[in-house]
Amino acid sequence: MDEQALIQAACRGELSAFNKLILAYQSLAFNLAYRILGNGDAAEDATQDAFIKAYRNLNQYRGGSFKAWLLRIVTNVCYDQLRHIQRRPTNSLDDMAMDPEHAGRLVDHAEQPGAYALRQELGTMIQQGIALLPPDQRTVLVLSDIEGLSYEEIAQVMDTSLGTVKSRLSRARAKMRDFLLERQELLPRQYRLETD
Amino acid sequence: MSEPNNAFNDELISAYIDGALSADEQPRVAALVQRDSSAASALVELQYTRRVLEAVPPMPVPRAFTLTEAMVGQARRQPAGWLSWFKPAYLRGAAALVAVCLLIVLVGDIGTRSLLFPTSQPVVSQVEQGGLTPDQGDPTGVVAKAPTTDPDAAAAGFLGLQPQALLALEVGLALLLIVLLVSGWQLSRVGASG
Repeated sequence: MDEQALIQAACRGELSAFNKLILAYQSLAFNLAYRILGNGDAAEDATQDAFIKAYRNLNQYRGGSFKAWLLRIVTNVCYDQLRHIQRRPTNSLDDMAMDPEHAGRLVDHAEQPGAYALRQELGTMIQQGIALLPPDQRTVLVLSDIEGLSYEEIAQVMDTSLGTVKSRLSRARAKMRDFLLERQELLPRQYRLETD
Repeated sequence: MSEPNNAFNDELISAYIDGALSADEQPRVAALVQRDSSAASALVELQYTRRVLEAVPPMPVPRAFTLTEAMVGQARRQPAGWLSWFKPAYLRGAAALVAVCLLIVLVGDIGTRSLLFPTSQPVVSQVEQGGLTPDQGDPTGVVAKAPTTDPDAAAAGFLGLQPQALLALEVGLALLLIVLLVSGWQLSRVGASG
């Protein structure tokens, strides 16, 4: 069954059809939430909330990219969580940014130990850099350079113009560039910038 | 090169990397990178940054996020299309309307019966009794056709309906009222639990 057929079935109240859509997008949704929130447990909650909200509001989907519509909900749920955390001084954003224990629970057992360690090293480092960005720049950077969405899709997800996407992405990349260049010696060798 | 120029160049070069510049801008940035070493350096660094970010592997999903009936029981969305009209408030309104109709029909029916049949004794036409009254002996044996009332007119009740039709209407309205009340109550329960 193709995506549109699944969406139509889900609109008629078929939960199994909506669950097929969830299975298709849960990795993307969870990864986006994890990169925005920097915390596995919070990302799990946000992803689940987003899917429930999506199901509840499926009749508001007006065609177009379902992926963009869904990721917009995920992004909004994450921003709500960030706002909620900012209102509570006991849990700072810095606490949210680092969660190596959660990353440890997400071991892909099919992966070689060395490759996994390298992946974790790079992922942890990148997450530290992402956490330094404002939420809007964080989102655009993750959607573009980690998840590989086009400018048009990102504009739909963030409900903004292409020009804004370009400028936010440029600023985010510049900050991430500075972050990476300052930490070259901490990066795995193959991820360092080769200079002559 | 000043900071604003750097930011401007970064934005152009960032879009250049993604092939997101217009046909006019693309060769301009290519030329800038050729003649300006800082622009060339910015291009290399931004390409490197994007390459590192692209290398970040996806985090495995910790669990399936599929929804269960129990989970969506609290978050059941409103049905789309004409089904969305089945809301408790609308059902209660419809029930009130049907109740008023039922009341009108009942009152009208009873009122019409009392007007047509002021006494409790039922009117029976002479025809139905055989056409003869005790003081109308007919030695010829010809039945006197002298109906006192039109059978149809005598039987017609409220709204010109036959008694059976009226009864069916009353029963139908009563059943509809019950269905609307029960449906409204059930929907209210679902809504309250969500």
